[in-house]
Amino acid sequence: MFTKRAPKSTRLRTITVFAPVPEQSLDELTERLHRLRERPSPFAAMPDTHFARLTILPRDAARPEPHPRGMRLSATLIDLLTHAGRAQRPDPPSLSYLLFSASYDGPARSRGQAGPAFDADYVERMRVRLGPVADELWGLCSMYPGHSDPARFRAFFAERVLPPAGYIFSASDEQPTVGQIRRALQLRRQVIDVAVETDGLAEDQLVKQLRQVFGEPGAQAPVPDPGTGGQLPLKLEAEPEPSLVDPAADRERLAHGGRPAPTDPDLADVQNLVTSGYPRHLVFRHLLLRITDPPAARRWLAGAAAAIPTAGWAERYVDRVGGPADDSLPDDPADRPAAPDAAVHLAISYAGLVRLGLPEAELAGFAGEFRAGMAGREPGLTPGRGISTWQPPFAIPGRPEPDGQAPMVAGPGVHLLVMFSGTDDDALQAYLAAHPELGPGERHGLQLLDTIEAGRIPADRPGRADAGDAAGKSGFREHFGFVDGLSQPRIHGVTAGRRTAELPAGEVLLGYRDVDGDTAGAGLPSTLARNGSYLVYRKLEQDVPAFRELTRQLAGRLEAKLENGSEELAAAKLMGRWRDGTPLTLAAEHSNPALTRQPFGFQEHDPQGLRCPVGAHVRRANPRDSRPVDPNSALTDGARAGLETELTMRHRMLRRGIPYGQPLPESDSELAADERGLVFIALVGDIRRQFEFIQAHWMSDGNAFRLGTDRDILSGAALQDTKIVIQGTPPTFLQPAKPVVTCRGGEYFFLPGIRALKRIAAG
Amino acid sequence: MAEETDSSTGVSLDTLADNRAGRATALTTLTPLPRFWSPALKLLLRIKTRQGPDKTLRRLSFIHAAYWVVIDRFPLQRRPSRYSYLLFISNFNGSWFDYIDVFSTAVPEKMALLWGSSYGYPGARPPRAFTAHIRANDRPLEHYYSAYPGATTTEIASALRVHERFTATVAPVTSNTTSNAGSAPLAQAWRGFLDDVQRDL
Repeated sequence: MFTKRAPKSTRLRTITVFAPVPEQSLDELTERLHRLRERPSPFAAMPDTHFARLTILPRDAARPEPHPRGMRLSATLIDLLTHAGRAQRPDPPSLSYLLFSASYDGPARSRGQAGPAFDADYVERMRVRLGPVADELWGLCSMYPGHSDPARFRAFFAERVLPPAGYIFSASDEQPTVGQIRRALQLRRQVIDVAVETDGLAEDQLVKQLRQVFGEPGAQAPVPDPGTGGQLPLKLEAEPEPSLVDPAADRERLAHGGRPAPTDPDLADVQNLVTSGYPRHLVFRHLLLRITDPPAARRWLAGAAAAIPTAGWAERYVDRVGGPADDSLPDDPADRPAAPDAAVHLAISYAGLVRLGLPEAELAGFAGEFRAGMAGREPGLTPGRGISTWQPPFAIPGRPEPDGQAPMVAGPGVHLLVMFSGTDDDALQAYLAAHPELGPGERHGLQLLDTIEAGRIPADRPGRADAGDAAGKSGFREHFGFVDGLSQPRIHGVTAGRRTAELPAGEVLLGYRDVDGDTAGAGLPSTLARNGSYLVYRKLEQDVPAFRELTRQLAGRLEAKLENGSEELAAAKLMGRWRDGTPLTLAAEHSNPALTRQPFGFQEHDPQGLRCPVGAHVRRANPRDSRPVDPNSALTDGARAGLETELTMRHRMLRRGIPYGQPLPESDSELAADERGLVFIALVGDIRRQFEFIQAHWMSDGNAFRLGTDRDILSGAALQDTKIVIQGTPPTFLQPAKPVVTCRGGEYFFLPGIRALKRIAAG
Repeated sequence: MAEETDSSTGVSLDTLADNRAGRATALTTLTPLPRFWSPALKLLLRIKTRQGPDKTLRRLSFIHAAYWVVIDRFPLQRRPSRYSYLLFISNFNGSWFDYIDVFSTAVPEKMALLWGSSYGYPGARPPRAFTAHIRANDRPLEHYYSAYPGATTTEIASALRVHERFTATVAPVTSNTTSNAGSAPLAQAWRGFLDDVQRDL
């Protein structure tokens, strides 16, 4: 069965206790336990305990499980087998309970050997170590004897303990003790600090520092981490349940689970922004608007809806060449379908939909994160920074604190995003002149909060790093000089045809099947959601001088170690691609534009990050086949192949971002103070799974890559003291002096299909 | 550590806990199953114990510790309950909501084996229904303690490797308090050590 058996001994023990609590004491017990959160947890006094939890199971709270509907065949069969297809009948317990469960270190014993049914030693340790606190925890339980008499204390628990756990899953076979874990964590932190401080230092200074930190015997003995103060983990998000179908409303809801969702989008109803990044358009203007007069705004919307180009033209092209629709266009303009010289698109935030008067029943179907808005989600997306770096209109200074600082708070809310674009300034001006009714103004019940002038950086503009346009038709350069927009997912029926698609349409369009087999936007009425998308909008300011300084510094370090320390290589090590787009994994020493579009994976040729560093931006954004694999292969051999790739495909996004602000030439210092950056735009079917997951777990954290808490420095997630590791022989450790990218705000919008937009406008 | 709440909608955010504090998240479910299936489920748990840890779950590495207990009788309850109950207790890194659908994708058959007999199980796929079922059954805790709240399982595994390598290669040289041997051995040991453990730092 297995070529290598896991070790036979186990050390991790568990204990679970159900202690009845009289009904009248439940409230007081709850209050007591909540008050405990204000102090360090009493379980910190139990040094062998890894985890402990307490919860109250009130008798009255027990409810029968609803019988699931819309199950797939396999689940239906299981239900028939185990439950004969019947629903659960009520089974209210006759008592309310205080549930206590803990996992702790015990003496090793062999796996097959059944442990004692009741671990009296652990209970005795609790009695001694917790002392009077045990009375606080269990004092309100029926027949609790107090902590002074060992025999009665033991008997109390013996009567209430559950049989030992049938199966314990632990993170590692070594089953380290709490003490071992804490010592190791402490040491790792020390090693990192020393590595960063001494990177690039001469040998004698290095040794001096090492002796100072590690030399004295006492220096290695860690101050034990006191553990959490018994506080709860952050509460689980209360995502609203999709509202139950109102029989009177007679609206078809987008399908849940079992019922099949359509797979082929109706492109004539989709806003063209989804299928095309408008590669020929160089000038973009984004307007952020607030609705002051809903009826007037709706009239304006109706007019705008008529002007939005749809993706209908792409129907004929997506089935051809295995690439984005844009790439399959003939080169000769005369052969292309009439692509507009200018275009307008628009998207609405949740606050905007509310203001436009959408009925509550429809609004309730939107995903919780969309309803909260990006400002509400930001503390989780960039922990420790939140919206503190945001600027108007996305955030405004709040009331000043006693120390004089005014923390940023969410702004009044952007309702509408209007995106104009054109091949050049003249084309855009001509378009606006020709369609005066499109210009939103006060008379349309719209207040302009901000205008963002964005645009592709064309070849003849100064400051663009390096000629030779590997940017190609679908890519462009951003302010640090990198080609962007290269790796876009091939989405069925939207940007790729049947034969070449890697993801289903629901990954960008609501109302269609998504990668899990679910329907994107399930719970929303199809007349509202079908052919629409969620649009993630994020303004990322880039500090070009700081980035140049960082790459110079890194280049110096690399030169000292590898004798190959060009600034180009340093920049590439941070991004994961050379500036012209060549993946570092394919070309570790020099760029090679021919390889720009070549598909690649990390696992076979670059698992340790020696070519493309593990924390580099593109590797974080799309780890491809290489989530971190435990170095102990005995543990992971035989696990499902291709699992990493499958999991990574659930977090791909179609991106339509555009740089904003004037490029900064190398020599110029006057323009350095001007604002510039990237308007990041992503179109997704599931904001949480596709955007938020990446931002929170792969950008604002390093755990998924075995990088601890290291953050990505190129997406605005980095805190002041983030470190960068460039793997290599030898490795380089670096701490940027200041952030090179800062998020200045953002919002979640809904980019409706044309019919849906007309419906919204009609009210 | 306060909960992060968005005051305008009252929605709590649990995408990622604070930097270096409280990175462990608890999941506690108690689900009923027909008494008829209790012996089979207990047998299944014994078999899993003998087989050793699930490799796919280890590979995904975000569970500190998890355990299952089948309850045929609640302590001190005079009349027996209609059903048996499956208690599942686990400690994850970060937000379980983001990972629970990984279970559906990675090990759907194991989910079916463990939870299939419980009432309300909607199938491991699609993840949306499964997540909703688990969430509905997750018990909010009054008290949760972690001995190493700042650390994830991956970080712990890395730390243990770093500790082992350090003890083997660097510690013996630093404890050489005399500098007669010069600084070369220590510098060399340190550099070799960093080369070795760079993927764990």
